[in-house]
Amino acid sequence: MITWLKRFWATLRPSRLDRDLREELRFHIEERIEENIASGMLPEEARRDAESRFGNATLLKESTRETEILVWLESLMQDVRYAIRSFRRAPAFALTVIGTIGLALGLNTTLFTIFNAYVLRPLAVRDPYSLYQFNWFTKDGEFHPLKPAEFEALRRENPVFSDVLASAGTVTRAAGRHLLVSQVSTNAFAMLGIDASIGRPLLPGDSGVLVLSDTAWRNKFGSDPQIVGTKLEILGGSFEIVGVARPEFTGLSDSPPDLWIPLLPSGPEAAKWLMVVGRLKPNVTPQQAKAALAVWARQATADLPELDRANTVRLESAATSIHWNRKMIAVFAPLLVAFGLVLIIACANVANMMLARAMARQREIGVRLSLGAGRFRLVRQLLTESFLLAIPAALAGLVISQATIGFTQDLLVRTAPPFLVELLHMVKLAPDFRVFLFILAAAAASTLLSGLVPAIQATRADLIYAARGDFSADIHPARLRNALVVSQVMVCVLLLICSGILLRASRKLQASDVRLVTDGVLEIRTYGNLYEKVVDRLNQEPWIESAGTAWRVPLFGPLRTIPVAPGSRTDFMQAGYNLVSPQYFEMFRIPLVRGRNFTVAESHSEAPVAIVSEATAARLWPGQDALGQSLRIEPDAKADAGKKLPGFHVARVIGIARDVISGWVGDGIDSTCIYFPTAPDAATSEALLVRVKGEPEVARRALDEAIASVSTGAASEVVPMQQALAMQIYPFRAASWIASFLGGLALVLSLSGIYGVLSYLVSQRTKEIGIRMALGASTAAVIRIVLSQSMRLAVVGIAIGATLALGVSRLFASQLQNVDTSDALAYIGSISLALAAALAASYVPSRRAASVDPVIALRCD
Amino acid sequence: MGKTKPDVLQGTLDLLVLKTLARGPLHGYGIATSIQRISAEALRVEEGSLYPALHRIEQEGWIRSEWGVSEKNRRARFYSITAAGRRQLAREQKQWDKLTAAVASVLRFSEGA
Repeated sequence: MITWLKRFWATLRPSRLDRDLREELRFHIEERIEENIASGMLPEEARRDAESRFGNATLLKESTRETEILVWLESLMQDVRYAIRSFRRAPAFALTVIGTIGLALGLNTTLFTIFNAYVLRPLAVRDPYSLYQFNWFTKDGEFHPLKPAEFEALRRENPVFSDVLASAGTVTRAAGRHLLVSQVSTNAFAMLGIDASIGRPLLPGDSGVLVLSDTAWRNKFGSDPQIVGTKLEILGGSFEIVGVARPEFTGLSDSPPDLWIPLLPSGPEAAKWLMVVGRLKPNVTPQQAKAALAVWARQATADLPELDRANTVRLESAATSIHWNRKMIAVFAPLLVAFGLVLIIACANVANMMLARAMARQREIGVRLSLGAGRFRLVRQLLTESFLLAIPAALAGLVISQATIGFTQDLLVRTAPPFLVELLHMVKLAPDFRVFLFILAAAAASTLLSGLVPAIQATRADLIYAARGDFSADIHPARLRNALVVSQVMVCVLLLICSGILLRASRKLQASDVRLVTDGVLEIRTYGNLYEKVVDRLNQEPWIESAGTAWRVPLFGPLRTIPVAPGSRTDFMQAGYNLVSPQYFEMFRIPLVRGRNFTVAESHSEAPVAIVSEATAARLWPGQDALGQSLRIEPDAKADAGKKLPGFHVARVIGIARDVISGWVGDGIDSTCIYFPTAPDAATSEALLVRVKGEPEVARRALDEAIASVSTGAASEVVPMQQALAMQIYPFRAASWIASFLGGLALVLSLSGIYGVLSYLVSQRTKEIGIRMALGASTAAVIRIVLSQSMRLAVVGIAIGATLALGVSRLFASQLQNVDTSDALAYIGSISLALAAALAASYVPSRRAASVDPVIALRCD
Repeated sequence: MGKTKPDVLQGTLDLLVLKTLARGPLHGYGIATSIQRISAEALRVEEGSLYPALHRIEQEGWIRSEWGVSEKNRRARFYSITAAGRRQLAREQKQWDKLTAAVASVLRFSEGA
């Protein structure tokens, strides 16, 4: 008696309403006890009588509370307790759900964390949302970043910004490694409100000083607390380290620099183009600013040739590392879809499990329905279970995402070409409130998605059948389950095909023969005025096989083009071209199939001669001998900064070189390539090229020393050409890894999904199978029933998935010219893999079906 | 113990509560004992159903409650009838009278037969 009372008090929660009710009841009972005692009962008896007069206490509590809104919360707590109890009874179920959703959530959270860090999280600067990046476009739509003089003019004259800063990125080398330098106008730190954690930030009027980033200070300078005051020989000069920026400041761009220096006013490293960011005056809207800047830009460029004048301006928020625009959507969308699909099939799996579970509880649900429980109440109870699983799933997802991020960064460092690792810094990927919100919302959405449909299905039972525990007549959970499996197989096939295509493309790229022997060749970027001395110095070194230059280093991007025409004709066509010193061909082991190389004299005088590739020869002079022909170069070929044109309009073809790949590997053999001569130490060349004897890494150190002996801090890049090639292929490798991982995961999820559905099906049809066997069906026939069921689902899923993949690949075919998006092997392979998986998943359930003992099967029930 | 006494007839509890409160504010325990005393112990209010009924009637707006101090100087919740409650009481009383009259005439008819 007293125990129920205790429980009664204990279950009353300390809300105001509860306190009121409790007090009222206590008053009542105490009054009754007093009266009972007064009428002669013993105290214990008096209490018992007082309590018993209340009759069913639980009923009392329920019906009293029912009148209040709080009852809703009350029954929610009940649901929660009920759900926890049922999870305790089936921990494997709960753990599988948490694991499945958690894994998929974790992957999606990883993606979101990256997305958040670049696109959503504002920069750690003062008032980031008033910062706007400004530039303009010329009439033919060409992007025009501001030149230093234009920046100065903008700073003086601009009508809309309270302050403007400019920055430009530069690569340099110090102590045998590359550093990413950001040249900034000296007002930058003050304008952004950035302080230094050691020393001081850059201040107006500074020159010859630098501020390190916190990451660089830690990773590249050993967290030396005494670093302020030391000097660094970079960019051809000596810079004093005056401070280390606060850790949260990683620059304005998506690639955090190692250090900041004041904009170099002159010299070879002076920036030609600037990224300009202004802080809008408080009362100016972006639209007004844009209009005012458009007027300003047109005026500022009014004296230029028409094609160079500003036409339209762009004003983009600089509050985040990457501005959210259409280009970004195009980059993120496929990733988002692929990751999202994995989450969806994980949900489908869980929905399936929940459905099976809900069906197993049909009798319970039916009984409760017939006892008058509201359907909404039951659905809510089943949903409560889903949501309860969402919380641990979100936690698991968070842990998994952190692990994945760590692993991915680690993998990147291990597998990416070293040059890329040295320069590609990632912004900090710590989760913040947006990530937490995302994971909570995603967890809730996915559990809702996987819980709602089964809950509605399970409670749809007809009362009469339900109470009997017989559901076959009314509801069609099978249809839902089939739909889930089909969609799983579909997504799985889609992802597998995509990964197959990417894998094959990446293999093809890796296997493609660029025909340039890059092994042993290094490209050196230093200052043009030093080339002569450096080349002289290098030519004395015994470990140097040859040294030369190229205006454009091959494999670092597509060939530049120039309009040319054969002989006297005027139908000009764009052809790829380069200016190279005579060593180029021998250095990359490009054989001259006919004719001869440039002579030393021709290279020094940049004589009007040309060597064309075989493909070019065939294209310009089909059926003729190209050797000795004259090549016309369009006289008014537009010169822009950074484009070096040959100084003549007619050249004589003196040689034919074998076809090679000198642009993007994926583009294949250069369709046209014309080489013009340049001096081995031509200051206009982009880089020096050397072929070394022996190990390139050893040579790299020797090269650093050799350049330093000519001029300290002069080297900005020393990169083995092998890495240039690796850098081109790496994105494809990385993409194929991600796709394979997702595809594999989808495969595993689908496998377990099919397995689950078939197992359930077999257990449900045990009686039917028993009857069939009793009537003489063979084991093979029984196995066939199960297998045909799974194959039907798989085939439908595969068909839809493959069709979708075809559609998707059409969509991306234009963006991925180097990828064969209709790769038959990828399709066939993926389809067979999915089929095999479906078969494998049905093996165990079909064996189980075959081992049904008709006698036992018929006796049960 | 109280099993020999008839429980308050289903549906008449509201009427009894309203009638009791029409004579003045009372706490729940007072309502229960008052009904029992006035009916000379003939009617017993199931105490477990009294409080739900009080809450329900309060929701209807026929009675209102406030915390006060009992005769024995203890904190108790006092219920009092509202104007709407008095109207409801009149309605219910009329219905009850009709019902009992009807039942009585049926019983008389059976006796006469």
